[in-house]
Amino acid sequence: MTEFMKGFLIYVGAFFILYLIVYSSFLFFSVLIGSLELYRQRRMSRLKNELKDDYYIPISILVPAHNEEVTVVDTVRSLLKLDYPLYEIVIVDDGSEDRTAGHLIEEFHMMRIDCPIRKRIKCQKERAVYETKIGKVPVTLIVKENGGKADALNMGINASRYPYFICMDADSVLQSDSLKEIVKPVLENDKVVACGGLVRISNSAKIKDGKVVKYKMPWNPIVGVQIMEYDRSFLAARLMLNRFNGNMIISGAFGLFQKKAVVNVGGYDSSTMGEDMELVVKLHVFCRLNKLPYSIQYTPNAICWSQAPSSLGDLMKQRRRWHLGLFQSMVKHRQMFLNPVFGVVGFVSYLYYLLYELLSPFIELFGIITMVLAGILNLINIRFMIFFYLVYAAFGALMTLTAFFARIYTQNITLSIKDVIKAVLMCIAEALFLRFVMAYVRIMAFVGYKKKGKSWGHIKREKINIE
Amino acid sequence: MRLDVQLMIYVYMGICLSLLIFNVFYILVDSSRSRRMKNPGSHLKKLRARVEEYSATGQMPEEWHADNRRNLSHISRLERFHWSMEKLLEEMPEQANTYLAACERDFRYLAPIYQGREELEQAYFAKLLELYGMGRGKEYDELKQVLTEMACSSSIYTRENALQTLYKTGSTEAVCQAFFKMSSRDVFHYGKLLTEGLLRFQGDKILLAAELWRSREELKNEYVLAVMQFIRMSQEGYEEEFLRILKDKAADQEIRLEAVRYFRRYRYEPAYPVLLEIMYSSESIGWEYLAMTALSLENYPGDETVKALKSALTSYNWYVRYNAADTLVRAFQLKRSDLSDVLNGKDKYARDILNYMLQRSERGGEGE
Repeated sequence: MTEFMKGFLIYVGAFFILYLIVYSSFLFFSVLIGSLELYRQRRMSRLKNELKDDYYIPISILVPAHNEEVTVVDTVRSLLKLDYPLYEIVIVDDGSEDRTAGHLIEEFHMMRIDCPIRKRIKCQKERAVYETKIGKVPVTLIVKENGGKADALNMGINASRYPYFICMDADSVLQSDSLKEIVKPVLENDKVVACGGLVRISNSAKIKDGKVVKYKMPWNPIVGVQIMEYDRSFLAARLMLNRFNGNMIISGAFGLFQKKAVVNVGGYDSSTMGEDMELVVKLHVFCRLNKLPYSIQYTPNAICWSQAPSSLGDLMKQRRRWHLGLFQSMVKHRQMFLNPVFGVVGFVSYLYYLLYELLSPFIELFGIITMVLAGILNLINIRFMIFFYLVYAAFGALMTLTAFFARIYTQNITLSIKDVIKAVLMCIAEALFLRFVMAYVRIMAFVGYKKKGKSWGHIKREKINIE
Repeated sequence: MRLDVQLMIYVYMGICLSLLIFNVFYILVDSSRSRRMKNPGSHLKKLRARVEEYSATGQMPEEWHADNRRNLSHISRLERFHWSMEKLLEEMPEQANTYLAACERDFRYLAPIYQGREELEQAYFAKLLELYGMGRGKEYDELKQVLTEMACSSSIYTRENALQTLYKTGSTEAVCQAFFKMSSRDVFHYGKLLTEGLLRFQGDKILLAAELWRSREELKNEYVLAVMQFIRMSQEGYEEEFLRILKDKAADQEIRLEAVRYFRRYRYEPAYPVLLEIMYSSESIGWEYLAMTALSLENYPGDETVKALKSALTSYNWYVRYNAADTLVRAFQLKRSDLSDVLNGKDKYARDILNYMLQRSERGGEGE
């Protein structure tokens, strides 16, 4: 028996060594390439490698809202201050039970109108349409029957008038130059069908006229660790995947899409919980299968400020939704798995998301069980194990800190020494604790999956700190 | 094996640590650079003295030229020159501009050097030429040749900065050459950037349009389209040419559509029957033509136009219906009584879109 266990543990050990080598290499190269890319972009801006301000592509901004009475008026007000010559705002109230629509109608003196909507993508029926024009910006409010965020976005696409649209959350704020920045990849290459922006956490930022006037690291560790996590994800992994058109996610909080392409793939899938990822994966599949030249880009200079959950309960709810969304997208598009038709996306991106995002909690759980078993049989060097774990955690924290500092110099952010100390502490907290909480949430996500199904997932909203 | 993983992680950590140190170092260097930019110090003092001396004597010693050629070939020194010059252009614009004009021969000398550099630096150099108004004049000289080459770069910023400098020189020949080269080398440059750029041309726009149009056979469709848009936005006089394109069913769709747009802006009676013919033609012609023509007809009011637009309200295509309703209500300001036949008709889609436009108009709403 012991011999069998020894043999078993050798194979398990070999598997985990390989698993860790690939993961740490991925992390390392992400941070390395991300940092170099950010450095290049900073140089570009210093050396006037920029386009003049008056080039533009007309854009429709879609704001899906469900029970967002606390934030939606501020969000629209901030959108009206965007520094961009031609855009419209389309707010879709997805059957709110609160006064989301009422607040908007009163605040912006919106008038009801019998506007026919061209339903190129299937979505729930509209109950009423309101319109107004504030300055040069047409604002449309569509009150519809509840169908989920994806359904609300589909309605927005149907009602929008311009060839490109931005999807965002009702509790997010776009930085005033964000539209100018997010269209740049389209100006560079007309094959761009989607472009993601950088999502940053607004909980500890003060925003005035679409610009951050005050920013500090928060004391709340739940928010703090998310800031570090977002930096690592947006400023490392996505920049690396961008190199080979391999990004499979554009955050639902801020992304630009070519309407024609999205209509061609049938819009957002309202049966999944991760509609943002599903759409991007679907665009890859559609373009690759039809041999259409395309590019899905990511630009860290286009910035959106979004609220992060500030309590552990809300964070767990959010991550549960994300993990189920990931699961649904991966299963739905499983044809991509190691399929040469999908090139690097199928071999690298899909495989990464499968092994290191979707299956990682189960693999980690398997690892823990094996360790316990090895411990019982006295086949493990406990001291080495703890040492190895600490080295690995330090490695993770170092990677995150590197991404964090890369962001500071590339985005002209000023931080105090206190903030830097907080950042270091948050990195350690993320590597030592948050990782396990998240692994637990991911495993538990599947419990009650069928019952809870698709829902907006109620997370407590706070007023955004904008002027 | 375990030790190998550890070793690898240590190596990664070491590189990462170096990166982290580099980041922190860069933050410090960058902030010091920003401080220097706000206050360039001794370099500014030296340059100010030269500008003043040149302004007083009108003489630039050869030593200064040599100095410029040597120093400005380094990107960091070129940046420093730029920062100082920005200050001086604010302080003493006239004298600084005169000094810059005297430095032009040094920039001409540097142009081929920067042409061989990485694209970021090429873009920067081209930008400075534009900012300092260098290379003005009609002749297609060496500097402009370098810029036309830069206009074919794979970086959008180098292309755009080089083109902007060429537009500012006012040289028709140089801009035409840049367009021919870019087109023949299949360089993609966003159409809107090309059009907006041509509109910024600081020479004779009529001559530029004529030259580009005359040589359109040498240009790919994307470039011809940009030229047509430039013509539409800047001048009349191409009615006959554009009408010929409009009538040519074999012409590229985007090019023909641009001709339709031209006749929306410039009324040309001989185009009217052709536009009407398109409006009445079967939808197999392509909804884009019908939708665009529905808008262009706003420049041709009359009973026949109203009749054609009313019939377009029953089109299967949303955009055709929308544009036809828009022209009828916004451009022709027709009231419910004028449109009662459609409003009381059988086509629900036509009724809906017309009702919407009328409601918007009645409430003083926007037009497209």
